[in-house]
Amino acid sequence: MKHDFMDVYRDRKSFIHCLDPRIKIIAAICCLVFFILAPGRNLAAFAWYAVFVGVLMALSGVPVSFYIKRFASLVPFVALIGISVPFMHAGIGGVRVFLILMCRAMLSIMLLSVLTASTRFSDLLKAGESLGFPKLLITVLSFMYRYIFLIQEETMLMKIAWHSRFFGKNTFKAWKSLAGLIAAMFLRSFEKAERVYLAMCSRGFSGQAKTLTRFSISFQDILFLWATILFLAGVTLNGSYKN
Amino acid sequence: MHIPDGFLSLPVAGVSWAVSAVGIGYSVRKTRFELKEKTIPLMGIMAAFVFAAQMLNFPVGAGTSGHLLGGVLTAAFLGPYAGALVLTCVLIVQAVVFKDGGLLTLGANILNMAILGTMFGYIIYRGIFRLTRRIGLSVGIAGWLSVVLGASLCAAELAASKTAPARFVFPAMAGVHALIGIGEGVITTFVVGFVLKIRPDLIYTAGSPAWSVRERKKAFAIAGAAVFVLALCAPFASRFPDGLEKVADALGFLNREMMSRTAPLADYGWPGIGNEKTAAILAALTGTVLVAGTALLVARITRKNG
Repeated sequence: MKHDFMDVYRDRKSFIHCLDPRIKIIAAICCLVFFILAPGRNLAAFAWYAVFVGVLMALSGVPVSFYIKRFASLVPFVALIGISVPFMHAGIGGVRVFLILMCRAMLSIMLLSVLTASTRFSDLLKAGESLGFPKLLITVLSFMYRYIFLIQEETMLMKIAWHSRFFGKNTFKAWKSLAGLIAAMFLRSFEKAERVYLAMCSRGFSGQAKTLTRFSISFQDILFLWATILFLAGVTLNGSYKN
Repeated sequence: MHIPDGFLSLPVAGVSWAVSAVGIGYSVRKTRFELKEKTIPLMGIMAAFVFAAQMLNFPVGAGTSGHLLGGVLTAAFLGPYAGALVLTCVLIVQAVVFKDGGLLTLGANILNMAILGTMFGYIIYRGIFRLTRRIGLSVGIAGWLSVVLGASLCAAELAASKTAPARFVFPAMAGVHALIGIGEGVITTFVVGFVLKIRPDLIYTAGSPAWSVRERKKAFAIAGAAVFVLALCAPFASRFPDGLEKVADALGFLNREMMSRTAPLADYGWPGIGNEKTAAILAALTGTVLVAGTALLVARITRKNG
């Protein structure tokens, strides 16, 4: 797994890319809330939501193939989580509940895909901080994001080594050898953290990370947020009040 | 156990976000107070480590596999507060970058896995450790219990959201995770055992004072009484969801469930708080508070004795 895997489209200059990250996060949360608020029988609302997410995708300037791949790879996971739902309700109602759950989950996932495909992770973190997320958490997250790929790769190498040695069919033995792998990984990571800290100290780390990016909310941002909220509120309320 | 967006109703998601926010805020304060800036890179790299460790599947039997949650493991290395923050970061990255778990449901996921897994798991680990003086055993039991309790809480949230009826989702979630939890417990025991051999200084409470025989007897008596009371409560707990559904059925809620609603806000019980959904949330919350309260009480008593 490489950094490119996730950040490949984040430096484009589309309408969505240029929006203020804070506005994007607030708008995304509003959308998610509306997706849940719409009652299951209001099918028109769900159709409008799908159109809305589709328009955002088109505006984001990211190739459609990216979203299609994302969609196709995530549907089985969500379906697996909800697969027992139809059997838990009586009659055909369970299938409807399941389909509505799938719609809501996939709409939310695709919406968040637009958000993360058009915003750099560091910008998301900075926006989260100015929206009131604890600073400590943000700093830890930015560290985590830097090292996730490195440690992931080391782990996968160890995993290949683990697989290429046969530890017997005994589940218990497999667990024990896996535990050894995890313990070795932990010690490596811990020692890496100590070295990183010392290296950072020698470069003047004081416990706070500073970035040069500055955000500013423009007229365009406000317009986008209001348009989003009004559209979704209209769509949600319209079908839900009619009987 | 990562709940996607859309599987939880707004009130349930909101309540669990609020509870998680309190837990995170408390952990941030505690961590800042206890530890210096040295822990920031350590926590970041540990979060990356937990993330990678969660991607390793282990066979559970019958062709299925599970993966580590690592709550008690992290708590054993970093303590409950820093551990909770590390797992919270893992869940945030899984939700935002990898779309594993939703954003509105992130609060519930943090509550089930990060807060319950580390803080509550740590209390259990400490309690059993003080009783038996055996780290491996206490970490193992705490690991198993944290997975099962997390899954039960997840089931409670799904039931309170009316996504799945409580009488099915409880046994399904708790049953499957009781099996996966065995793997979690055994692997946690082995990992801590390995680290204990190589770098015993890295285990968070490897050296707390031993108890006298009398104190240990007292603690055993308290633990026994707690188990007895829990066992007495169990039939009520299993009958309770059914009872709720009966009430809902009598009021005609179940037939209309999710499908035929009139107004979006009225459905979610903001105007009239007397409906069955709120009752379900209240029931789940009361249960959580009771369990946490009992655990805190036991922890306080054991601390006084130690």
